Amino acid sequence: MDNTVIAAWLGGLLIGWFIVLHFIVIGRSAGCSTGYACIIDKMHKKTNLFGKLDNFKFFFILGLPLGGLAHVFLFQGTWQVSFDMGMYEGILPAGTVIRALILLIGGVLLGFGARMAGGCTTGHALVGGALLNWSSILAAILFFAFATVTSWLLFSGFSIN
Amino acid sequence: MNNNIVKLLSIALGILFGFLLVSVGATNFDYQAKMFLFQDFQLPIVLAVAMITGMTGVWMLRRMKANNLIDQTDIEYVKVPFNRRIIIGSLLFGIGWALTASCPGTAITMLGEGKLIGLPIVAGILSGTWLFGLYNSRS
Repeated sequence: MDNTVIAAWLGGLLIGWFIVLHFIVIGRSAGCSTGYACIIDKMHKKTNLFGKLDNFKFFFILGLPLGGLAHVFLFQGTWQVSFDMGMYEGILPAGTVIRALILLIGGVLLGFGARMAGGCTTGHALVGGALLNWSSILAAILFFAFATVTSWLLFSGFSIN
Repeated sequence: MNNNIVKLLSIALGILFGFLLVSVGATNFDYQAKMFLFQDFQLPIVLAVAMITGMTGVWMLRRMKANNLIDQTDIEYVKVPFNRRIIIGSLLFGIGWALTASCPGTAITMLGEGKLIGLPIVAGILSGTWLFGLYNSRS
């Protein structure tokens, strides 16, 4: 699919080490969805919407796109704008507006669900798993189970090549 | 330690994590779709190996009673208590994950790669986070 992608076992090792490195350097768990809450919190100064937030998470998610950019420059040659959705091209309606709307709704579910569940794939599956935190592991299993059911529904009747 | 140094370190860790997410293929729609359709095991293997590696590493840190680098104090290993909201939140998150083939970390990383199809996803995550904040502060 993508020849710049590294072997799964190696990627797993590196990401596992990253989770540990984050604990060593910052002293707290890594996480992505909290960074979004930090952005909303900064825009919504009057009321406290989320309780206590780790504000450094804002800087963490600021780094994420820069990491994506670095990967393109180091391994993929030229940076180019793309709207391609791979296999999703076959199941989503063709119009740009309706497509963006579906992704927006999916994003709303991700944002709302992550805050309600108390974390996303990084915080619950990767970090919660590393801490053997049972409620996080339950959340990770449920994320996966509900995403699997939804994907099967989305792709049912869609043949892959 | 100086907050600005912690900010810079946070950005640096973010860059590293974004780079790793792209390296393993997590920002690729097809890897995500094929994971849930059980057609390709790249990402499930990444997740499983990462969890086991992280578990081993955290176990060692705890055994060594390691301190963090920035202010030499104890590392906080937060135990998330069980809460019924986790079930409903996971249901919504799972549906969102399958609809967008992304999660909050990968969606914003895609923007840096030039995959601007991530823009409505990121806008959605911000809106959903905001909606939850409003719901949360009123209930």
